[in-house]
Amino acid sequence: MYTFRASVAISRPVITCLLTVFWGVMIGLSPASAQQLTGPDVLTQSTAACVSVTDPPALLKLLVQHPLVQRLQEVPGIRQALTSPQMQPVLTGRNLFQLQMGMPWLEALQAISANGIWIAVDSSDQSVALLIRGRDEQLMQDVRLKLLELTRLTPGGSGKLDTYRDIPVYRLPQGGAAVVGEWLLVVNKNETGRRLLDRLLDLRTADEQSLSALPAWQQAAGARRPQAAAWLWAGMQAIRDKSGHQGVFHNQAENPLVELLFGGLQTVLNRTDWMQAELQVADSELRLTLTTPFSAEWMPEARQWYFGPEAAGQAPAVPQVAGLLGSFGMYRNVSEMWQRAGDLFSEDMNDRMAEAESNLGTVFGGRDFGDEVLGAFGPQLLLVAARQDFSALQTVPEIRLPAFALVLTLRDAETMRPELRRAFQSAIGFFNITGIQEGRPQLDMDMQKSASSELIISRYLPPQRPTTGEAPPVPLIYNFSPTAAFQGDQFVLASTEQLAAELLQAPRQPAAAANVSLDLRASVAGQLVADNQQSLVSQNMLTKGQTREEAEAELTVLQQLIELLRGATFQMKNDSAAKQMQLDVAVQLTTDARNSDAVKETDRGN
Amino acid sequence: MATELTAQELWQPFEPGRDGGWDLRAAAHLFRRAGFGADRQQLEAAVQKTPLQVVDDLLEGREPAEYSTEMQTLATAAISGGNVEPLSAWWVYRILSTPAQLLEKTVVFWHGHFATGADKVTEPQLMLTQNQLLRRLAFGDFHQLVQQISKDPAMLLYLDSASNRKAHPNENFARELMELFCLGEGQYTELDIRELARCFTGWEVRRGEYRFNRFQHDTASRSFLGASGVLSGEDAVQVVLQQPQTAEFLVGKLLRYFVLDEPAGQAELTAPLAQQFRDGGLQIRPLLRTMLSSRLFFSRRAVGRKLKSPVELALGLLRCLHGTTNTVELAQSLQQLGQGLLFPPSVKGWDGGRTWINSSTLLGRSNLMRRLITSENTRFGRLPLRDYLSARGLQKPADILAELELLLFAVPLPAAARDGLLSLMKSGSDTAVAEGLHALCTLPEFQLC
Repeated sequence: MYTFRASVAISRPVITCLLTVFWGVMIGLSPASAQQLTGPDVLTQSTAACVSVTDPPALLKLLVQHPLVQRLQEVPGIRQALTSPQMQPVLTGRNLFQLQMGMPWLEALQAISANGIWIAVDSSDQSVALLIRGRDEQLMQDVRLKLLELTRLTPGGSGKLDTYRDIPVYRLPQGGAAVVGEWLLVVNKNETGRRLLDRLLDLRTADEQSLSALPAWQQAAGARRPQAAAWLWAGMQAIRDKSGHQGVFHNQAENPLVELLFGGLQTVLNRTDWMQAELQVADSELRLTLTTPFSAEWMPEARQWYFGPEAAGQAPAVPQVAGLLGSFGMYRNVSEMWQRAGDLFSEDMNDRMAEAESNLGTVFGGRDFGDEVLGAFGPQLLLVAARQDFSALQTVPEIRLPAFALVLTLRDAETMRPELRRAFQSAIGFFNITGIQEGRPQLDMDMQKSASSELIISRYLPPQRPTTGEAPPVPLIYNFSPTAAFQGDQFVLASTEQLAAELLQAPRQPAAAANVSLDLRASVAGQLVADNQQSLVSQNMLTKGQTREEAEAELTVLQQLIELLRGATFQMKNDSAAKQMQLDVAVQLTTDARNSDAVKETDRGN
Repeated sequence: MATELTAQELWQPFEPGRDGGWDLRAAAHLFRRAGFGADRQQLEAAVQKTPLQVVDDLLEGREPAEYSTEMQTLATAAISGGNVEPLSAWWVYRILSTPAQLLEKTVVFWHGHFATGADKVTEPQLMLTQNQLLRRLAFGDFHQLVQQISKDPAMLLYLDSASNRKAHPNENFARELMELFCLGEGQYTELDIRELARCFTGWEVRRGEYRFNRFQHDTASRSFLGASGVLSGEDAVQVVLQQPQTAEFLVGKLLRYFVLDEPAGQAELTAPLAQQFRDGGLQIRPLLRTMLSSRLFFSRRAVGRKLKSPVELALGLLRCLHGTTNTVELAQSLQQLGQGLLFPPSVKGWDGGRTWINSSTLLGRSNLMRRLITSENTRFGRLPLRDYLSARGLQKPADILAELELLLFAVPLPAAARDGLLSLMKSGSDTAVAEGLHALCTLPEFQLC
């Protein structure tokens, strides 16, 4: 019981009730209350794409303190760039920002974005809106008074201040910026700005127009991982409608290679309601995962070859050869794609493929190229690249390229092996004949057979040394000794005999359970750069006019940057249980110098 | 007045005072002609010496061993891909960086004189070997130069003389030896060509090397240019070199390359030098020494009276301002303007002089200079242009203009152009200075050297 001097007695429950009503009214009267709204609540369903960062302070802290950032700053070239005169305006801007906000820049950014950042593109006019929800209203008013006001004063600032519904709006070269309660809004088109300001001022909770009420958004949000540092959502129907179903949505590729790589994805893009991408940041890895609904039933008959039966086709296992630079494997029934050309490609492309089929059929003894030749190979395709070991070679080229190979499975090895052997020999012979006319060195053929394997090898004859004067640098072609190899049902077509032999023998790591799998190893890439240091330095000198010292310094920076990485992977997987498809890109990092050397040793030993 | 002097007197050494001033402008003229240009520091050092001392320094033509090794390494790497185009870029890089610019200027001359095109000789090592040969013998004995270039595989391939059989002697090389290398047009007959061609039968190129095939060599007696006998190819070259016209022809070409585009009364003018050249055993260095230190060279008859070739235009700007750039792009641009290094338009090389300027090349030259100045790869003293000029104490537009005029112009700027340029550079910003430099490069006066 509280007693006022004016002799009015008011009970505690009454006080509590009055206070509750009071605060409720105040909350109701304050625009865009922090307790109720998020960016997707404010944004409307005409949003085509939206990037969300729901915990910017954590992400900022993670990025600033990330081991990669620390190590980048230790790279001399980058350290130099950060203190160069070109960086002065950035540093001056940062210092001014700190001065205005009265706190360190990181703390200020964390406070300004404490409750989320959203960047949205509208499908109706392609306008872009940036919504930031800050720690509190007072802070955001500071942002307005201390930062946005500067736009009126700085050169290039439009200098104009408008108001909209009593809210100050700062005109930018394109669009404008405004602060409403805890919210900072920046847009590049005035119409979008007015629409979102209305919602910020009037909305108390999400309504039927909110993006967050869209089923496609809700499904995507449900599939999102909680640990994602940032999240992109795209409403595919709006994007498709806006594009007029052209470009990537045009359901016909004009190029067999494009169809091979992206045909199935085109179908998915034309069917799915939404796509989302999540960024995950960890000390040793950066990962971007794109997820979309998917059903095997979506694939038309003409594209069944892409994912295979029940969309369950998987890329092959990768042989672990020495110096493996990378591999690219996928499931594709190329024979069926070729035979479906009438459904997949334009008339012009079909004519060209028919001509190619005729010529290629001749090379293979009159066999039908699409059905009998391509059909002789299984649907698992693998392209492998590896660093060459030149120590065993008699002739070492000046520029050292990696070796690469195509690894395939034969459905009927007994029948196809002689055909492929003959076709390879014919191709080498043809190459030699044209080479004579063009003054190219000739390929000499050799064969190695064992109980289980057979290699048909072609090697360039060593260059003749001049009797007088300086010998020219060994040409690029001495990187190659084209080889066809067979073992069981395995067929390898390699640029070098060394790689062909290793691929037949190397152990295979388990397949990735993905339709497409790409893997790159940074340490081997670094070794390739070192192998070709002289050429790269010289090219730098000529293209930039730099001295050798300057060119070597730049190359050293490149090598140091490569050392920060362990590798990169890309996978495309179908999850039939979840009815989703995922495209996953990951960059693995070496967290310190010791790890970097250890990785190099491991990869060399592989 | 220089125009009143006899030819003999015109070739006497230039004496400062008597024949004119030896100042920064005169030194700049020397470096522009005897190289590609000089910066202020070089000019100020030059005026501390006599003109003849400076010419001797230029003729010293020696590159430090480390530099030569570096260039060899760079060339090897440039051609390691098997393409010849990077070699052209390598040569541009070399011209920009060499401490021996008269040597390099003379190598460009010999390259045009003994024209060999990489469009036909696509093996880069052969082109590099020839380029090195020209550099090695640029200031030496003309006899030796012709003898060696005659057996150069790139030259033989270019002149379709990779195979020369006694049943059908290849007359192309014989004709070019006389017409283009030694004597000039109209100094021989068709019979001379046929007879001379027989001397070179058996000369072959096999696997990129010169080889003498004795089975294909015509050993019968022949007669040409007043000589007869069983003459070998080497003997034949010597016969051609001994013709009196050889000296006249070569002196005339060097005169047009280094001194005057259109020498009036050329025969009279070249006669004393030709005699000196003959008397000296066709040694190139003394000939150049006389030319570059002569009263004629420093007279009004010569100063500002040549048109810059594309190479002189672009590389001259860069050398004067310590410029570096993307030499691959620059080499391609020079080719588009008609002077691709290692890509002469024909076996006659480049005519030079007025042929450098026509309505389309004028526009091309302007575009080239704009690309060069604004390229992100172009730096001056490792700095952007404005910073480079500021580092040299050149802040005001008037000071910048005065410096550029001294370094880059053979003739004074017209007052109207000067006023326009000052107005253009008034703000002193990076863009204004770059625009001002480009505008300078498009002036008619800038095309002269």
